[in-house]
Amino acid sequence: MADNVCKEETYQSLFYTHSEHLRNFLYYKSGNLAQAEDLVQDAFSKLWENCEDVTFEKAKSFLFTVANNLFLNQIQHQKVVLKFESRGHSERNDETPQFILEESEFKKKLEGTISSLPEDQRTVFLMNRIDKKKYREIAEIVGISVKAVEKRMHKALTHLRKIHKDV
Amino acid sequence: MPDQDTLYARWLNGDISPEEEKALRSSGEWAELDAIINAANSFTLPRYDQDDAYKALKSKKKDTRVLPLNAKWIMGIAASVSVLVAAYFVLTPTHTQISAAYAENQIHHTSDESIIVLNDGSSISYDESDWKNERIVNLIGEASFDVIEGSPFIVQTAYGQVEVLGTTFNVRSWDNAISVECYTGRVKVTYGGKEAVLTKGKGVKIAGNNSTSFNIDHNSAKWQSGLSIFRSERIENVFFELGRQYNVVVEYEGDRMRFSGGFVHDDINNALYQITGPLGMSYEIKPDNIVRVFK
Repeated sequence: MADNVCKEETYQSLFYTHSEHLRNFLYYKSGNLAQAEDLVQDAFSKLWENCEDVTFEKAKSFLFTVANNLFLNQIQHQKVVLKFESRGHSERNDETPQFILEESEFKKKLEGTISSLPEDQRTVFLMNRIDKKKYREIAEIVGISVKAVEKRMHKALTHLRKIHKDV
Repeated sequence: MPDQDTLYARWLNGDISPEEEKALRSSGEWAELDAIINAANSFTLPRYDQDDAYKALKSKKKDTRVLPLNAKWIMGIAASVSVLVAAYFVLTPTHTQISAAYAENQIHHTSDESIIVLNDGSSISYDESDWKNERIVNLIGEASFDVIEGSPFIVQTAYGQVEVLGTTFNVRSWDNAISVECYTGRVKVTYGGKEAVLTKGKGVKIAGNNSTSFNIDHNSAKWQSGLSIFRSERIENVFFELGRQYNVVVEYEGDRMRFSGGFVHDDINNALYQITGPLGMSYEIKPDNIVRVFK
């Protein structure tokens, strides 16, 4: 017997499984963390309202689709500016202060260039790099072919190479 | 020849040819891409507090729903075919066998949501192992069928068989006679090497070598008034309708879900059992016309 999404435990486990990546996905698109988190709440509320009609297996697809639709209905005002945190500082002693400075400047440039990528390239790139999603899963979530994901990744990296030009 | 427009994506996966690798290294693209990926690998997003978020979500969750005033979604049994037959059963592991004990209608639904309502003292059995290709139900007694379109649906009795061509019908089979009434769609009755096809409003009675055709002026089985039938209906709507029939208020303490089945209109205990039984729940009739349904 399939898990009933209307059961509290099932619904909760779906939340813990999908909410973080859903938030990230919406952040990549909007550049607005608060908006992304609100949309996560709205999507999960919709899931609860429709729990009798959504099977456990289809819940992930439902959530991403609903969230994306809600996002599209909201008017995007501001330019997208993504801010990343740095995970894991290098502990190597042989790095000179100059190196460390250059490295952080490079990361800043990268952050800015990622933000200015077209949304479809940016989203795919970050889902792969930060959420560690394989091309196949990205294709399913976004609703395109694996080939299309690869093309977007390639375009994103082509753009990002430009950072090296302005030294 | 792999595409140029996916080169970098394939590079990321280590999915490039030796020639492509050589070209990327010598042009310096490899080093540039490497630097980008190394830097990107250190990026993370601000922490997402799932516990907080879930708490906020729960407090927003409202369970108030507006119940409909007119119940269009209530399905009655619109038609039925009666077939009188004495049948025998062959039981196999995937067999389902249902009997209606005396003084009790039995409302049953199959896996494809066809609905079978058994009159007193009747039984059916069927095997769903090949349901996609052929649906065969063996009948002793009398039952009403509401068949979902799909593979051929055949009601077999010792006296003859009724093949449904997408319809609702009643089959009555007692005392070596078959009586079939068709209310919607088409039904084919086969007996002793002969065949009769019935359309809406037609019936046939077969006893021994005699068969009599007749017209019918009703559009559901006469014995079947007083039932509410549901197919994949929201459970709260089912209880709403029961409450309406018996003038009670049902307090349901279970999970939201969809229910297929039905209940009688003439006995509240039978009715409540017909819904709560299949769900594995219990009920309690309280003063002031309140019924509590719980696990």
